[in-house]
Amino acid sequence: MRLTVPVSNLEEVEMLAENGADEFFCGYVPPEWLERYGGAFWLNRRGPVVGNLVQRDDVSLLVERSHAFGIPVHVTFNAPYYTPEQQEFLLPVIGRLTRESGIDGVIVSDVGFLVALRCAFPELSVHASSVMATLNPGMVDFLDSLGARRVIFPRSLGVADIAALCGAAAGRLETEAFVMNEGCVFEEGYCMTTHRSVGALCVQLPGVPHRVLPLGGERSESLAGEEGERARELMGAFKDWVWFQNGCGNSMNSSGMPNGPCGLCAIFDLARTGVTSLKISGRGASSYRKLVSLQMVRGVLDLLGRGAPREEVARKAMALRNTPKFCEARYMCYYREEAS
Amino acid sequence: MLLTRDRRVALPREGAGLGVEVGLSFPFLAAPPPAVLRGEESLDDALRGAAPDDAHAVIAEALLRHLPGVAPSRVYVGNETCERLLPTPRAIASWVASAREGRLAVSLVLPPLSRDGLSKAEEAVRVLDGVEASEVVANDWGTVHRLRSRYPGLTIVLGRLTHKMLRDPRLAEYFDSPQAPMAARAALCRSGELAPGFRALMERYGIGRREIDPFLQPLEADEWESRSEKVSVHFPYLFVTMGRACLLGAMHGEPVEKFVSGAPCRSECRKYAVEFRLPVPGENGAVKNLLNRGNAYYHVVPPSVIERILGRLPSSRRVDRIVVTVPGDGSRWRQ
Repeated sequence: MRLTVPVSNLEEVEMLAENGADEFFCGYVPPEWLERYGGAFWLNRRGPVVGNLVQRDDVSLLVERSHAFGIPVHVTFNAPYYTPEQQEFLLPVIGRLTRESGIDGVIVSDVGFLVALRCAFPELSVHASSVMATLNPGMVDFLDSLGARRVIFPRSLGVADIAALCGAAAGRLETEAFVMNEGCVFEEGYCMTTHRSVGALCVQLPGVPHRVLPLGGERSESLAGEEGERARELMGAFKDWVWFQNGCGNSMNSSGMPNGPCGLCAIFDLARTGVTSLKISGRGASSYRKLVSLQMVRGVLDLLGRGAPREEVARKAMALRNTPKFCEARYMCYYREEAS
Repeated sequence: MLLTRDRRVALPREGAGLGVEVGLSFPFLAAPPPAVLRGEESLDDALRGAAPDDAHAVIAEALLRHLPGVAPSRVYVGNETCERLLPTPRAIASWVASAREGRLAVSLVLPPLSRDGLSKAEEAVRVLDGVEASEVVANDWGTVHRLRSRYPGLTIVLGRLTHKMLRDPRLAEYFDSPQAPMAARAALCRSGELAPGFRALMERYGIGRREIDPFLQPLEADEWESRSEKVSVHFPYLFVTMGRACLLGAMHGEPVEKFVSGAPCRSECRKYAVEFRLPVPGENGAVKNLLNRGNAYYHVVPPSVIERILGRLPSSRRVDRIVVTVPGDGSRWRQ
């Protein structure tokens, strides 16, 4: 399995390369985009500026340094959609990134834009973002028919689903699954909200007034008795789950380890799915968080490479995390059904 | 008042409602509602009497005013966000039989499907083989691809979940703010579906109809009219977001079992909803409603949005269907 790692500035390249990154992905927002759209329409899922490169020369340098380590670079254009005018703007941008900056490919979410890219640049490697929500083998066939190179699975898939879809993709598409850092309470590909200005809706929900209503009753009716108690427990658990999925209140714990969604203890099982690459997410994270995350995943992969059994890999993963209570709660896991 | 077919000789497809078809969607009802399918209860009476969603009374009144004589001519079966609510082939056959009795067409609604869900959906779709005017509403491209390859003659409609545009009720009404950059306003009030790549997909898969939401932001005219396909508009719920982990489905599970994607549930969504009140930024205590129905979240749109959209129907060349989701669990029609 390869290890795909976010990179947001030139200074991170050597550090991440020396610590075991196999592939990089980054964001690029040209100044012309910011002039047109300000912060109102993000070019990619981290925006408008944080976590992105904003000068094409920086992209060129980043690619040059990465290639010196033998590491390919994909640039993410994974907004849920681009209007026709935006696509007309972006196609030449991607053309220059390919020809002049030497990027290895792009990551996209808009199915129509994928078609346009394949038409304009038949040789360009295009990865289908998790925002495309590849949940079934039909989607694997669809992406293959459009000429995608890789499918990035959404966070909501379990290991068994990933294994089945890797089987469906075998020999046709590369595959990628999340292993650390960023969560999504909703299904990313079907979430029509924005984090812009008002923050993530999922983070906000547990703290706003709400009530569980029985259907078919009067509007003022609220749940009472045992069902009322269950409803209160449910909303409390929901608050906990959202907290874990969003970095546990702080993206780093007291030991200097990253908090937040994690699939470390499932790496043994993930390796058996045949997945091409594991993804550490978080282009907007600090360099330190990226580095520690990479070291943790690499540590578990190295153990796996030495032939350690499943239980030992899981133990090591949780020991590395050093937050046993968080692991026991399981709300921080990407792969809940496989959590040890 | 709105008329059912029992009270009117002409079928709605033959001219009532200005030629605009109305479909009733029953996302949480497993068995067909005979009274509605036989035309024994008028649409407006049914919607007006429904609690707790006042929006349905508004919809009934607005439909009556904008589309005189309109009556339901189609039923939507199945849930757009949860495959656990996918009707069995037997249940679909029952819906089809009841609908045929009432001379209604059937739309089978499919949510974004998992690999198991896709297999079940393929079985379900077989029931529609040869059923006149039936169609399948698909909400992911994998399902579109699979169904088109296995059922070349099937009518496939693109569900509204595939219509990629922001609908965040906290901000959407500001998307066309004069203070926003012109390019940003345009981009937030239209999708990417008129771009050549998307057009090629629509042609490749023979898609003749696309469903869309009742957007809070006014869509650009092109988004409505510059399409080759027909357009259906949903009321009164604006789809906002969904998860594969279900909020209400976690109600009766142990803590460690809650919020697992695809986990077993007791169909709590058929009994309960969760109403959230979202503060509107900078509006001094104003709130927006957000309604959780199982694994999905909706915003009930205000009357002004209903008026704006229905008001454009007489001049629209593409919008020829309204889909009204029944309130609650739809059990009012079970008797």
